Amino acid sequence: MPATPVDDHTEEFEQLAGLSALDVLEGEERTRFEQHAAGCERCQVMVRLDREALARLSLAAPEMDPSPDFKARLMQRAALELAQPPTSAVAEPPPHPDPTEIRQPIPIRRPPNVIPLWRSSPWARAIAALLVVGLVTVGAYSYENQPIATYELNGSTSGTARVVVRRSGTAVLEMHGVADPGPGFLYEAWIIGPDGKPKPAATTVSGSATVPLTGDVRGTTVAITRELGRSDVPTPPILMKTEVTS
Amino acid sequence: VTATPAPQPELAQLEALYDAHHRQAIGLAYRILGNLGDAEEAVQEVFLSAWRAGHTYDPARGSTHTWILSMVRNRSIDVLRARRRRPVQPLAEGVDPPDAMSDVPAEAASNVDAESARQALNSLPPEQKQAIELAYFGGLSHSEIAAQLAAPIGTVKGRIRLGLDHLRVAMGVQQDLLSAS
Repeated sequence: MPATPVDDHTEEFEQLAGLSALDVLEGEERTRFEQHAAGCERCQVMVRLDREALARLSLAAPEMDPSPDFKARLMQRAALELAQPPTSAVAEPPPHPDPTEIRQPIPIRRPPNVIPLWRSSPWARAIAALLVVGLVTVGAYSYENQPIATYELNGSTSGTARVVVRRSGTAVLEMHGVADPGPGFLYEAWIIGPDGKPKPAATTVSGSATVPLTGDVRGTTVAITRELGRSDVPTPPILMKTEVTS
Repeated sequence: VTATPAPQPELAQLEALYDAHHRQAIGLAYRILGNLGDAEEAVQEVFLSAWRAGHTYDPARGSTHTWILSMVRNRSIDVLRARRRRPVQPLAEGVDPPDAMSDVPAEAASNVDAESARQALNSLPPEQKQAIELAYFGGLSHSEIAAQLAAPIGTVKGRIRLGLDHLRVAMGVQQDLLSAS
């Protein structure tokens, strides 16, 4: 059954409903809309459905890999939190309890006066500390491999390709979902410097592969061609390319 | 006050949450922030907040994905706005888990995949798509969008409204609730 608007409902309120769903409504407009929507079922439904559509819109962003050590850093931070000793075993009650606080919803967050078992147990803390040491070691080892920039290659072929530049200055070419080049053929990556001369940088016989690029890609154009065996000069057309600025 | 044991937030739970959602989360944060370092920082805060809240990954509940992505979008927009004008607010650890959310229905992500979301966005007329993207991924208000596009505010409001109407239809959101107007 369609939601019913109230008598003062206008097209403008429907515009404000969209802005409210986007969380960009501010000031007098926000107050006016909220007062109206409080009694307007149609606006309430519109905001809810707009938010539902927008939540799905978040899926439109292309998936992406983080830095190789991102997971280790995340787990390291979590392990550090686990290993951190509690600051206070018992919370002092408020001197003058405010009765209005009793009506507040119970927070999902753990109350500060609770000592979790994993913090009170020396064994658990020792294990957590060892985990931290291990993760720190892994993190330091992989620091140099941290990507500092990613460049998507543009072209007419299916699939995606990108150049990932690492902190160490090295770079890799990542290809996903590109059709395989076919029997006898391969994909060859080229680094084209400011002088315009292409230099062979990598080859792969698969359309889904990660290969290191030979040479410094910074300030160059990276391009991909399809070649009948490894070549020293690119065979047109260029299938995909990107400019690497960093 | 008596100290009582709380549920143990296992690292394995965080890992499961991360493994299930990190690529989309990083992609969304990167789409908004345009910088991998900032994107990772935002996503890290979101995963830790979800983990601290005691949430565990349940493959049967597709809404977890939307919940995580909604937090990533909110956090990223906060960072984006902080670059422009105001400080970043810390994420509340007690953020509502999916089963307590009223504004993002549980089925939101379960029946629409990434490709159909992209198709829905790309099906919008260019001026509507641009306005929606600037608001959703850019965190711009309608007046900021109007200034950026050199268009009247009323025009921008109208484009956003029409764009959202179009998106709802393209994504199959319950249109019948609004059909008689």
